[in-house]
Amino acid sequence: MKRFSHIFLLFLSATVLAWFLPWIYSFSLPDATREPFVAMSPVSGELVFTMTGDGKPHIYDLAGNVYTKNQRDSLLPQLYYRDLISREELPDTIDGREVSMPLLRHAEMNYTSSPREINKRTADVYLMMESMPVRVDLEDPKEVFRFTGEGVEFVDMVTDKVNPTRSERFTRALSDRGFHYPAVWLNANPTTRKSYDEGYLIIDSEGTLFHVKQQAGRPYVARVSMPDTVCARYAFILENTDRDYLGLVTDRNDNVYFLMRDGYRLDPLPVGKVSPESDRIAMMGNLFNIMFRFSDDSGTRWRAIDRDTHRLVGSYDFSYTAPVQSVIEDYLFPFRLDFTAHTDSFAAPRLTDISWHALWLNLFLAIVVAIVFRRRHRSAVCTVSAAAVTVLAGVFIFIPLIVEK
Amino acid sequence: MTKAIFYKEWLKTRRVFFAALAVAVAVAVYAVINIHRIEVVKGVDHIWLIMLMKDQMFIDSLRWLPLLVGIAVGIAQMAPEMHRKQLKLTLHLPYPQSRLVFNMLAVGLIEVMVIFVIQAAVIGGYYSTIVVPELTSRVLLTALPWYLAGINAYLLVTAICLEGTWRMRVILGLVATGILAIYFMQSAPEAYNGMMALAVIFILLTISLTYRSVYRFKEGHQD
Repeated sequence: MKRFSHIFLLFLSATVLAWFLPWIYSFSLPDATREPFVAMSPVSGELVFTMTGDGKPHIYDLAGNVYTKNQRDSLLPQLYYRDLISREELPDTIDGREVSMPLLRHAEMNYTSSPREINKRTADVYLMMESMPVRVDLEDPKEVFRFTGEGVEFVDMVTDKVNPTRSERFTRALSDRGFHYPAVWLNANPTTRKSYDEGYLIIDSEGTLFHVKQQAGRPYVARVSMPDTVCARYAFILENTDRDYLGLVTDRNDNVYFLMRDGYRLDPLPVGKVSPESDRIAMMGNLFNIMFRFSDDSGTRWRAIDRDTHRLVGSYDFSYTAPVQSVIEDYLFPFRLDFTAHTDSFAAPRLTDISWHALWLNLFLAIVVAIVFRRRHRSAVCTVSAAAVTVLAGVFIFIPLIVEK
Repeated sequence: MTKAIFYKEWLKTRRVFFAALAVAVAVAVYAVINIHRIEVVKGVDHIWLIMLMKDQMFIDSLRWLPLLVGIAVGIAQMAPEMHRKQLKLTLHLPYPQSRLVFNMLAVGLIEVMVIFVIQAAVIGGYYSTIVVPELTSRVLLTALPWYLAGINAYLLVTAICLEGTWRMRVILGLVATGILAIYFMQSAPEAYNGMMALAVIFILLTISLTYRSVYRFKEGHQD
């Protein structure tokens, strides 16, 4: 027991240090890497970059042109139309298309998705809004639903009682459309802070996509017909002012599609592979184009597609280079122990940033440990074991071995 | 002898036990009244909406309490043992030393867990009357790591209190702070579901640290 408890205390100390030391190092030396904001100009047909952070923005394009703020406003009227209007510089037409503030506003669409919001535990009950409220404004949901394995069950939130009629109707509607239980993904935006409600996009166990909403208390269920080769993996509801787009969908091969309201058509997007589990997604649409920003730990990909044809009209990749403090960290710490991550909402121990560069420091520390242990008259087995563990765990075990006599 | 040991430990901790129980129940009742106020003012459906849309469980006031209860019971039980080195007398009782330490820890653990179970029952019992079982279990699973932190805090405090040297107490205190911080790193609901089993194993292994402190005390590692 005594030996076990001593080893356990060493293990505990190393665990705490493997978390604390890399954390305090990163916290003390923040990474100052900046990346530009990118937008596609409908005027020049080029990507326009805005780099901020040094007091005044640096605005440029890939051809090497540098712009002032006012020039940037004119190049990107879809973003800076209010400044242009205030200076009476908003043109009537751009690229043969009529331009006005109402038209530009109406065409705006935004969506963001974060891995943290996807990789988390959700409650197994879901809010259902009324998509056709009696009055104009949307109302807060009155019921939740759950999947029971053989159907859907609606529960009234005020009485906490099952609504058998609605449960039976939705179960029958889903069964009639060929829904296979259980549902593997659901997405909705059950808030009244929007102009209309499109309910849920639900993916069943076979990867088929369904559009489900409640209209006047009755179920609306539509099955999205997809090519046989496509199995939906994630689907996100889009409820922008422009109602052309119903959702953003990814399949099991990480391809991305727009789900168009018109005929539930899946329109593939030429933006490359995207995994919502690990990629942060930002979509900013306007009258002329739709910009996508996909970012992960390695960098950011910007993709501009034409609003009408959904063809790729511009792209830019920004790779993160390891800052000098990160390079030094690789030589100091053999790994880091994290219990949280910015890509999920779970707590779990995980070893990250395993670095062989720290082996040299580890070897040096192992020699120090061996010398100290010999001076303390520890057995040969104990000394060799301590040195061997130090080679693997480096400074994290070195400190406890020296301090805890 | 076992009964006598239990009684001795009970005498040391009963005041803190009842005080901690009273505070734990009072904080739980405060949380329940808070939820009930929202229910009366905005309707019960508002509670469902906030729970589902904002991931808010309305039990933030409970967050640090189990940790404090664990620390308080640990200090109340073990600090007197180190007062004028009374642990020496305890260890000289005609009773197996391992079983003695085990019984001492058992009393403290039972007291801590009784407080936690009563508090969780108050919260869970109220929630079960206003929301579906899925949401009640979500609330309790969100609070479970805080209770595990309380149990772990109790065991770590006993190890610190029974340690004979200040140097090792400081080391144990720093390690304990780091270990207990793990239980509060992620605030998302049910974030710790995946490491509950690991945490329980870890807590069981932590018992060995109390034995270590006792062994060291017997070996003469004392200031």
